[in-house]
Amino acid sequence: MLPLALYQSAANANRITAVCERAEAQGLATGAGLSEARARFPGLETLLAEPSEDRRLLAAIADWCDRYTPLVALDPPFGLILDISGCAHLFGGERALMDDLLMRLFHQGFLARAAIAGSAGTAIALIGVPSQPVVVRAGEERAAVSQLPVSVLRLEPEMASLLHRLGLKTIASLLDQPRAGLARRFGKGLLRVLDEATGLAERPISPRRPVPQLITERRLFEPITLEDDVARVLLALAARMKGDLQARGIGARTMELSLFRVDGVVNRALVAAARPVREPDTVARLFKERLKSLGDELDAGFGYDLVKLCVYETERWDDLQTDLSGKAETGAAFAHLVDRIGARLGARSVLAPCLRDSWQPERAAGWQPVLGAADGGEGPSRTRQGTSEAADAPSIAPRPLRMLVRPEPIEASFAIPDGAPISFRWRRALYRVRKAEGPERIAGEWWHEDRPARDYFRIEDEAGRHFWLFREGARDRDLDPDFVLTTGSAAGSPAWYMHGLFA
Amino acid sequence: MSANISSLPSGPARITRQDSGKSLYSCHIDTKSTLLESLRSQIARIEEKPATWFRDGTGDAGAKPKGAGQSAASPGHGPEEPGTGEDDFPSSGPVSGMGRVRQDRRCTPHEAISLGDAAVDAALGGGFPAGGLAELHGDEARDGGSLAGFAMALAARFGASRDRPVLWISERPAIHEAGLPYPLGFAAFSVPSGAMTLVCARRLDDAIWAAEEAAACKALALVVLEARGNPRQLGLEGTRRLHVRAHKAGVPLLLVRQSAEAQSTAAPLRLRIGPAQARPVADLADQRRLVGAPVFPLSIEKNRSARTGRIDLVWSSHDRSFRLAAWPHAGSLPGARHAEASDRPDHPRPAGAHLAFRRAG
Repeated sequence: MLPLALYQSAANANRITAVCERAEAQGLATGAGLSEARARFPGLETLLAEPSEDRRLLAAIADWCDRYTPLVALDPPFGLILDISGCAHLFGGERALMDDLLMRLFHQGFLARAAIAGSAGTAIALIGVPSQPVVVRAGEERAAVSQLPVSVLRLEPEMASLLHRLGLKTIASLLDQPRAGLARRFGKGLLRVLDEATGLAERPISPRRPVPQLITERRLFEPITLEDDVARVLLALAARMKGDLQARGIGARTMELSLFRVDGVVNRALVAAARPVREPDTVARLFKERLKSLGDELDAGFGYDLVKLCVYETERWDDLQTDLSGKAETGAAFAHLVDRIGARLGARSVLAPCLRDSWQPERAAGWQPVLGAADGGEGPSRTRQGTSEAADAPSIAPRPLRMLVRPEPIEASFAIPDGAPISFRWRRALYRVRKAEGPERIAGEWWHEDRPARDYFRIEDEAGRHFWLFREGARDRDLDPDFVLTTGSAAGSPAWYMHGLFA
Repeated sequence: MSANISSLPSGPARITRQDSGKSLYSCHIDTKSTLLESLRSQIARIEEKPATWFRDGTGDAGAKPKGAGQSAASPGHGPEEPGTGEDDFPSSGPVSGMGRVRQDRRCTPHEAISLGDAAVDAALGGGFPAGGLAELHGDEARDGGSLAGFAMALAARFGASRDRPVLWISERPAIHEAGLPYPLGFAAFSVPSGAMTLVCARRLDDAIWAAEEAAACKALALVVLEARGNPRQLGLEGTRRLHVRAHKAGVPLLLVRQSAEAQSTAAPLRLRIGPAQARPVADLADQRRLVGAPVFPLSIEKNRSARTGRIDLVWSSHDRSFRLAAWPHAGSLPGARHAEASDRPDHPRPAGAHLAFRRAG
């Protein structure tokens, strides 16, 4: 096998950015020029570095690390920070967890270093130099990092070289200096990283995935590949989850199933429910639809060895006394139907009407997803429906039963200056108007200056079809000063649009 | 027994049961006629028709008008629970040795809901089927307003409310062609705007899957599946699947086809709707330019329980009911031309029974 080095082009020069241990043993170091390295080591294989691929790989490993803790943060370019507070006992202690992690990564072909410490800054400093895996107890951070070189603090290059020239080569030498002097000479940044490394300050980490409220998981000795097996494990997990949900008096609105493949790939399926759910059967059925819709994207490969069920969003769910008439059941049946369809077709395909306070027809009523409380729209719109329906529905002029996705321009001949259309052409077909009701003028919203008023007409054509047309702009501005011409229409003539269909 | 009969919402079920009773007696007399009877009832079961379709005209039509009249007399009555009829007839059940005579639940003709007018109900053969598939198609996509209007009027008749919603399932091309249902427009059909949930499926297969799921959900007042044209998935087999599911659960499922041709279908009822000039506004008859109540010219192209033909319906949103616009229409029910060959059953039907049905209205 040839020694391998990666290079990258920076500042008009190709420089070596990474070398394999074989090349390192031969004496090649990073930072050398590409031509120089090729000249010195004739057998060297060089490849262009791909930082985006590196990032993708790191993200994949971070996904895989979800098996240890839900709080995984990236530490680019090559590091990961895992918050294992409260998780270590599941793996037999911190040391055992670290050994398991390193062993699995080694078997997957990664060279990894790890350190466990009470604060993230200490752990990052500890892996800055090649060393044995180490667990630092609380209170021993200062002693653990004091012998390390300053380079583990990841300072700016200028500051690092300055410290080097001043002879401050280890962290211990930095710690010996008076703090006030350090701050004055090098700025507060140095003190901050120093405090983080010694555990005096907390280095915040930002987990890359949302933190679930509840997690249940099952590790499998023998990897499973069959859909039925996954369903069975899922049912068991959901049954365990039910107890936790019940104890808290909540139900799950958003859930995620993570399937950890033996080779490190993680498959995930997310489902949302219109109402909080708790029953294992319901949960299993939702995921069944979701997994079916994923279809080929879900490749079991060599099998899954860890199945994890997370609950992200919950809602309060008090136990209800049901009666024997079974009326409450019908509402639940509909909610479950909506959930199943949403799980299979995507949460955005199941829509409920939402009404808004507006006179613009396309704004006044629309559709929004039933599922996914993330929009936050459901609650308010429900109440709005309840109050408005009886009040404003009869008071407005008739509205069409179907509304085109967007108004379609038509060519109309009409009685000038502002009469009803006599005939018009829509989608290349000619329609002659027999009856026309209108106009109903709907003014543009004043805070949108570019929206002119519209005159709506309800039209019956010769065959008896009923349409809702509108005119935007006017022929004669003197006659009708309110009617501002749209910029899009031809000079002087109003634009006509088809907007809806009546029964 | 008679009290039980009058509690039945529609006639055909009763006819069937009486006849199955008769066949019991005849089995003592003549084995050949018994065989014939059982074969007939089997065919009736397969075709999902009352057994009377397959016998020579007898005096069995009396029940039909009674049933139709009764369902018309209680307008706005929601669909009955499927199976109440079965419980009313414990006597028809225990037929030892001839279990096939007993109608299984799937093939009992379903209850029908009244459309608000006895004449309309009679034209449809007792009302609109309260469970199972019904098909509605229009010639052109621009007639989508009429199709949607009739569907919404049916939803009003089926008592759509927020607790018993309508599920409207559309494939995306159909929505791009004829537009989205507009919640504020439902008021013209006295349907609350919150009473509809829309499923916008990317592919037709997804839409059909959703419709099959919804057809088994009894919490729905009406399921509408909207598709474009005559796709392969909604042929005889696809509609059969939908019908069996909906029929079993007693959920009305309306298949709305935009710009589609008449095609053989498993639905017991297939209607064609086109545009029609609206009625003038009653109080403002001199204002000839005003658009009044919508008219639905309904061509009954296929009907299991009555004749085919054409009727014009007017929707009145005040009393939430249909009325007959013109009766009898040119080429209307009596002696109407038969539907195309693909709609017709394999064997000719005796005419006597149908004429008796007509007297019902």
